Amino acid sequence: MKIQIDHIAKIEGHAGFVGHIVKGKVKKAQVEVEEGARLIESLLVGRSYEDVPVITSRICGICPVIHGITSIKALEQAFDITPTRETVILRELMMAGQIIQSHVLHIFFLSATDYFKNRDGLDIADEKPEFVKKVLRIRDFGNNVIKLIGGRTIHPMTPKVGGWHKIPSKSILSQIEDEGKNVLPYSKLLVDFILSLDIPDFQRKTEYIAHKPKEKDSYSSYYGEMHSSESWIADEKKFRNEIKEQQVNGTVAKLAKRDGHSYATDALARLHINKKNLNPNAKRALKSTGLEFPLYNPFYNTLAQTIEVIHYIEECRKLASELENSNMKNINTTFNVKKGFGSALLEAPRGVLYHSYDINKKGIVTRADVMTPTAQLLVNLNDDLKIYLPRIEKYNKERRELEILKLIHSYDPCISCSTH
Amino acid sequence: MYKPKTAIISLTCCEGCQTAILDLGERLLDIADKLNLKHFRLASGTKKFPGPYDIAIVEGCPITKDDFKRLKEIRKQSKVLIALGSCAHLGGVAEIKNYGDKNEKIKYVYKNIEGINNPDITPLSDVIKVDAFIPGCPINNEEFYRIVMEYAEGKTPYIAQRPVCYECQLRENKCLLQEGKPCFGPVTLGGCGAICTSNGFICEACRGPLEGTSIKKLQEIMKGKMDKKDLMKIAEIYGVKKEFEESEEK
Repeated sequence: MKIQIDHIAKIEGHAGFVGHIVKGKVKKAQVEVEEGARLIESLLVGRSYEDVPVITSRICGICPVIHGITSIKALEQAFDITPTRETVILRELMMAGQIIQSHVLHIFFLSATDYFKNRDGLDIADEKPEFVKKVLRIRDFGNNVIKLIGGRTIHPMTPKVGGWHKIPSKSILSQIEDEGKNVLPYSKLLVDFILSLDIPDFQRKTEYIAHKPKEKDSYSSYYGEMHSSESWIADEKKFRNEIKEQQVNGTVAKLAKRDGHSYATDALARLHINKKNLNPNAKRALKSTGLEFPLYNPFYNTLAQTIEVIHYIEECRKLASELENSNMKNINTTFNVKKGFGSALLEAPRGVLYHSYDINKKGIVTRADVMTPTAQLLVNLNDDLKIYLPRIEKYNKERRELEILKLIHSYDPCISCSTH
Repeated sequence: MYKPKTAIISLTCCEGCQTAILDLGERLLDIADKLNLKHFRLASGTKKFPGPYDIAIVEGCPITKDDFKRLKEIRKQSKVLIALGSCAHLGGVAEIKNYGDKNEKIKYVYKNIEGINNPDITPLSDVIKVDAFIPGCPINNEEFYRIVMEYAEGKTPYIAQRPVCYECQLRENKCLLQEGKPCFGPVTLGGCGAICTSNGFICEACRGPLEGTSIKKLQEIMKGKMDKKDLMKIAEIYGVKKEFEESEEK
């Protein structure tokens, strides 16, 4: 039996699915990328380091913040810049805002809608207007945090190497704390909403890899290294050396493996590695789900994202209050352009993101390398699809396609990122 | 009431302009109703809504063979086709490759280039007829809202031909050009609310050249501060170098 789904809706970018089962055995089950190659890394070579965050943020319209900041972090390493504590907190705030807005978009519009008869976010908004308004308010909060600091939500322009083109005013801090307080109760509704869905019972053991903060009591942070559920620990250099990206012929998305196998890098992976450091409300919400870890059901990634939404709202309030004692002036770092190499790893909404650059003495990029979360998670998703397919073979065509889409959507792949 | 049947379609790009539309939040529900929005991949389900459409809004640029095929098909099925954002309007960041050796660039990223489409990047209007555009990288979603709602009311909206400097001055920003920075504000179409310059960042012309203006004006201002070559390199970022070079002849 051949299964083909063209132009999957409700994912970022363009992809399809191809499956082939012969006598109960899966010959093929994979997501096929249909996006064009934009060749972003090659476009950076020969350009000034100042253009890098401008161009890399345009890799993705849903997670531009993290591409911009990861490239800045790598460039600052190349120039031996240590950003001020204020700058780091403001970047962490933007990253938290990004995860909130991206997760809420995915949880409600892209994933949960699969579980309704009418699989359309706009139609569900007609049916449950009050609930959807609350959901949108949470997303607006995340967006607003980005906007207050970055100048706008998509492709924010204030972050730069060494600090900020425009330093945000101190008045934004109380705004973030107040708005965060207002939307926090709504975020618990999202957890209950996802728990009420009939989430498929499916397990496949995998390796979980996530960025573990340097600070022992933090769930997420600007500094840290990669930790895996299989006791593998890696800094930037080791990570890039041991994660092998392969290009499968004729496809524009590269696929990444560690030691020849797939692994998970997503909200579920972050929970596995860092859950004991969740903020209090998020920790309570996770406990209330009754879930036990390790949890090898990829469909629960969407639920893991709802826990993170609570965590990051709390985190925004915490970070904003930490800045209350700063006068928010003179937070930019001066530096000299010099020849160098820099690399950085940070958690994007969908998993770990890697950027590295070689810069010459004039500040021109001579080499650029970007590895996105989707290049990594697609391999794990394909491995899940291979095991999942025989279980749903018995259903009619429509139901079968829906079950495949549910699994693909639970991963929240970003095809624009994967092809960059 | 007349409700134009509308589709939002995406070719290769970052999909930031679609996200900007989603960012309208509750007002998106308003647009979906008034514009009879039938095809919006990020917000809608997998239901198939075949054309014809009264309005097709297209973001991104054609890179794959399928992109070209879909673009031509959408054109055939639509009364009005609007290019959305810098990629569709001007080429966008992907067009940077046109200003170098594109074969070298694809080999930089992929070992095996067989089967990967690598066309020159062009505005949609080089491939099909475009009736209107909503510029920017990303679009200004307030402007988007105004334009599509005017269409819904049966009007033909337009964007006033004023430079970015107009709004920048209204916001009483310090002039970045006077600080010696290569700001494209004087030669770029406004309507963005001067959002970049209000945030301390130079205008890099993502909304394209102001009609009837010449890049010579900016080259003159920047004389002695930045050479022409470096100035034009900034214009590569959103794919407007070609348009500015053409304006030089004016």
